Amino acid sequence: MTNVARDQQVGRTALWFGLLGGAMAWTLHLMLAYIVAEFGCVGRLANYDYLGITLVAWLELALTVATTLGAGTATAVAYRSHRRLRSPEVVENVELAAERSTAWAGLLTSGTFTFVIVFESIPILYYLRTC
Amino acid sequence: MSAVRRAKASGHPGRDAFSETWNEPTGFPGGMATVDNFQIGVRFLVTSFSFFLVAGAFALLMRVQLARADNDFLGPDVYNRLFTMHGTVMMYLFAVPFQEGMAAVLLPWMLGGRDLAFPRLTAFSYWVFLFSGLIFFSGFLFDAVADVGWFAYTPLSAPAFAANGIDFWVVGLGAAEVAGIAAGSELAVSILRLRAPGMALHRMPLYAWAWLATAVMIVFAFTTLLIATLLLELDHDLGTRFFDDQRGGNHLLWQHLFWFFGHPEVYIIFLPATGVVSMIVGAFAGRIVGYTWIVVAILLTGFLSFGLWVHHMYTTGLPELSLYFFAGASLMIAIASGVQIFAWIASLWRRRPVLAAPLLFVLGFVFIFVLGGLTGVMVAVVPFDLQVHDTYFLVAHFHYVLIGGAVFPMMGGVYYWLPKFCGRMPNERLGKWSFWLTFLGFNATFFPMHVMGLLGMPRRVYTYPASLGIEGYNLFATVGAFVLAAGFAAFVINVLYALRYGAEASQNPWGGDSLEWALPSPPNFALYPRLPTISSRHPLWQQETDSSLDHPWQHVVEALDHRPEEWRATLLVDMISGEPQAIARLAQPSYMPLVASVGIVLVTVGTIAKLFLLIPVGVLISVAALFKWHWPSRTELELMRTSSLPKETGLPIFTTGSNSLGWMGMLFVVAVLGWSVGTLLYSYFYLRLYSDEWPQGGLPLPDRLLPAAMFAAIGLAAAAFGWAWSSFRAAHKLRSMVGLAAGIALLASFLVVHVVQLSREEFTPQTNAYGSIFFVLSWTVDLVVLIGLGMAAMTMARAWLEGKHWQLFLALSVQMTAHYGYFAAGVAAVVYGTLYLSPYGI
Repeated sequence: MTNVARDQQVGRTALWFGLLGGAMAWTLHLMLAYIVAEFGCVGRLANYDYLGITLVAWLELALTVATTLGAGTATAVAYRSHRRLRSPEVVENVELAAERSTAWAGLLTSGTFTFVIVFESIPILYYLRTC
Repeated sequence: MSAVRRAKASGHPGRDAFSETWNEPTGFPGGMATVDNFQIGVRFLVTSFSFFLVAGAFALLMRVQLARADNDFLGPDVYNRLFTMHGTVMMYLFAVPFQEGMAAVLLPWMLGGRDLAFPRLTAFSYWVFLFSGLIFFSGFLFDAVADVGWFAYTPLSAPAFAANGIDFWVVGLGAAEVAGIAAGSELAVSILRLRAPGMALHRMPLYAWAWLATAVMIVFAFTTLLIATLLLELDHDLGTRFFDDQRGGNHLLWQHLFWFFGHPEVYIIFLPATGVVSMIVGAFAGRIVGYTWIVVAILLTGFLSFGLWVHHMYTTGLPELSLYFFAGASLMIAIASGVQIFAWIASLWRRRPVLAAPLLFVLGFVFIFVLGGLTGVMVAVVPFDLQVHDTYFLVAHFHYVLIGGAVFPMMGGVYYWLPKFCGRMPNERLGKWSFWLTFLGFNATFFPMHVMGLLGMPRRVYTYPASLGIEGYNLFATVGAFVLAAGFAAFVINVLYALRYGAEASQNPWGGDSLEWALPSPPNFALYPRLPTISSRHPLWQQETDSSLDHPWQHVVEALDHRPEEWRATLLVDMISGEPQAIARLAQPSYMPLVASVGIVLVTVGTIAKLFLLIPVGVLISVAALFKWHWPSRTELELMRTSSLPKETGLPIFTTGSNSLGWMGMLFVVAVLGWSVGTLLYSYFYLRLYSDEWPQGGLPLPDRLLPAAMFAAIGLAAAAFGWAWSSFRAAHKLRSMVGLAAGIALLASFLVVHVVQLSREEFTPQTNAYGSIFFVLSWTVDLVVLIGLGMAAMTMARAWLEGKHWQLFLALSVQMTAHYGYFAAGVAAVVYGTLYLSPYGI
């Protein structure tokens, strides 16, 4: 990227975060959601409730919001990188083709994982008072 | 003429010396030392396919047994053994190793590297795989064949119920996992760093993308199973209680660990096959539609596959809420698979491709896999799965997924790349016969099983009563199985025919777009004497002129043309952009991989035969071989130091950090160890969750103070290694040596005191599950420390022996020791917190 103007470059961290951030958020969501469900339902957490909703369900909902935000941020970062790399000033620049492709893949990947997190979490709404 | 072809034709005075350096030893003893990716890959293919034929014969015997109701062709004992060995061999000894063999051969060809990143590791992986297979089958010699299914559920496989065949199963499997992890690490590093200049990620062949995801999956999934099998073997040999419900263990822990491996395993088998399909479709259609979408689908599949393990456990009584997260992931993975299917169909749409054998197998794959995928969505739905669990519906489903999703593409792949492997074409007529026999035989065998399952035929039962009304379906399936076997026979005959009598193949008979088709058929040992430069996703279609002439890395390619002549080198490129970053040295042939694997065999034989003295002997042999293996040749180092290549190319030879293959390799070692610790920590908390008291059995809470001091020693050792590295960079050899020595002394002290402390505990690994997991986690820390000790000792010894060029030769070793020390300190902190603080509720 040596010949590319600084304001047209996209950082490596942003590219990797955009590509893998959604997947990481989903991994975190699934693992923690499972741990909260298994350990919470078998343990004592399910016995506590607030506003008629068990602590397990509160934790699951909070986890879903947090990881959706994480995956959504990765999607937004990927979108920003992609938009910057598709701008008219740099769209013809072959030196940036790898970065452009990575940003596009990140947009698709993280976007999908954001959706997957929300989709997987719908059943929580049916288990607000019980495990 | 493409850039690559012109490169091949160019003359060069150093050609002979260069070829000599890359030549492999010949003959029987030489063959034991070879590290050539082609030879080893072919060995993987032949060995794993031989296992496939044996396991297929087992399947035929089972089908004969099931052809009639109340049949007594096989007794229940023999039947149980046969279905166990059939599943085990197919899953562990055929499906993955066969594809690893293909990848070992094809990836360097496709990526434009001169070999894989760690050639000796390739050889080691093969030897361990071969021996693991022999261990599995040697059970037949001692009438000790496992009869617990390929999943070996506890308590059936636990000491109380399992016969001695389980030892062969567990130990053989452990060795196969070691081979798989070695191959996975090797392939991942090779794909990430050993590519032709200019081959950015977005220009990488889809086969390499599929393997990149698969290789990383192998590392994590196989490590989980390695730990699970280790715990099971400890229950058998050492009397630990991990899966003993009477003594605080939990038999469901096995299922969790097993399926955390088992479900990704399906995609580990399936994803490389999709890579094969993408390459074949691309060549026959002359295009591939939706490249980025396919890449995204591969990434999605790789991740999601780890989120499906509980969908094998819907009937085990887990909390309902937890089931639905996994049901969601199971449904979503169909989207990722669907994207690829649509991309292939779109690629073939209106292209009028020639329906040759490779494409026929791909079309067969699409048909069968779509059906398997649809039933997969059905069993992802909890209420439906509860109805069909452990029935023949599941048998039908997973055979549609595994044979359709993997075996068909593998057969297509063999037909597709055979001309490159041997320079001869397969017989097209026989190829079509083999396809139609396989396709029709497969569907005749497995489609009726859907119906049988819905009618209530259970899996893994050696016979059924005539009153069930499924005899006709079973007879039909058995006939189908023999037709399927005829299809495989035609395939084997065709391959053998091609090897001897096949018509001479042109360089690129199918019109493929990837680099391997620019190589001679078969390629020489010295792959790419002149490295190709890549400026397109389809180099053989779109690089018609020699683009390297005006390529920014032209001078690099020129400098490395048939060079270096005295040592093996290839380019190491940036992971994303494919820009050259360093010149990497590749290993020469060596007997050490074989010796190290023999050490592992001794460990396994000692475990099975209860000759426990053999275990330390095997460990010593393996460790000694590993030291010898990694000890660099002084002559080679001198040649590298005096090489003019850095000046000519502007690229370094002696590198550190992520620009060196050694550091990348260590990253995977750390990943495996870290994941192992994570798996054990999960086991710890899982056992604790289902225990009424913790520690179990009224044992006292652990002392916190002495262990805190002991574990702090590991942190101090890490600090000493870090100091050694910073002193090294400041060119203070003495301080660096002092840092290393201090770290070694601290680690050694930890080990001594830790062993004493463990010996004074008032419980043993056999007392209860708490004692078992306590000791195994403690031993894991010892193992992590021992590895660090070995690295530091080797670095120190080299530093002692090195002369004035120590700073050039040792930088990587010192850095790796320091980084590994940080990892060890992290492990120590987490394990200390778990074992000594968490029981207090902290």
